[in-house]
Amino acid sequence: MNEKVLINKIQQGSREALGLLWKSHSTKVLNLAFRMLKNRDEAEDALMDIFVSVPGKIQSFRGESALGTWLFRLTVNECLMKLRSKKRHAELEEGHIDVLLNSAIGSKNDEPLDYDPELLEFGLSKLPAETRSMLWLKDAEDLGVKDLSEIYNMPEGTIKARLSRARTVVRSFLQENQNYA
Amino acid sequence: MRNQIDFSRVERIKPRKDSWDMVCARLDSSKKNKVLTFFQARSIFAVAASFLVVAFIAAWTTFNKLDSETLLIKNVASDELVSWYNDLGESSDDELENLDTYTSISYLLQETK
Repeated sequence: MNEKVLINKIQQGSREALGLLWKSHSTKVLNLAFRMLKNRDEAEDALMDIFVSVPGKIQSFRGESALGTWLFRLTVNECLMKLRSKKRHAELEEGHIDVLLNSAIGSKNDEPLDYDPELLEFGLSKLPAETRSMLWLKDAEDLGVKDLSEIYNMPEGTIKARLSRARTVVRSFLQENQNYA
Repeated sequence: MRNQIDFSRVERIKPRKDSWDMVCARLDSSKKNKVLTFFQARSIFAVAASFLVVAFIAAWTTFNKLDSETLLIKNVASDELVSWYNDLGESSDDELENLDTYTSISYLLQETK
């Protein structure tokens, strides 16, 4: 079904259309929420909260961005809200990346290494929730910088800088810990 | 892109089987709540409207009663009585109407006997 038709039908209250959106996007939304919240049950709750809110929020959606991008924005906002309400957002603030980055400078980070997935997951979890989600969307979901700029409401330059720093931190963590894995 | 981190081997979780049913159930219950709120709001308007109607009827009845009392005085106070009252030096009909109805009528009846 054409995305515009799908949006129109959801706006008119079609449960079937919402079901199609669920089929095409729920896994991606869940994985993003899981990477941000680091908890399966909370990620499931966030997924359901988001889809319950879709029929209401889509009324003001003008279709300027892709439906998937809009859903990712809802997901990021929902997860950040949940993290803030639990005050877990202080897990690693953006400033701490610089500290980690200093220790990572000088390490070789360009070679494509075959990382252990669990270690990679752990390395990802070292980042602040927002940066973590940003890196996940870019490298795992293959979203463009322009889409990320829309989702996070940030200039593309800022997105690129944060992605670069995030990759450096993750790679540094992986290289330090690969020997122990 | 060479600079990207390869997440392809990282596990992707899938939504639980009952998650969609739970979303539907929550959507249905929120719809019911909306309908309930609509009727609750309407019942408040209905109660307020009925209070207004009752107040209006009560006020209307009171005014009608006053009118009928005024008419009664005029009916009782015949031209003969009014002219007699005027002869006493009072020319305004209002004064007559301002008198206590029963006192003035009984007084005038006694006087005319």
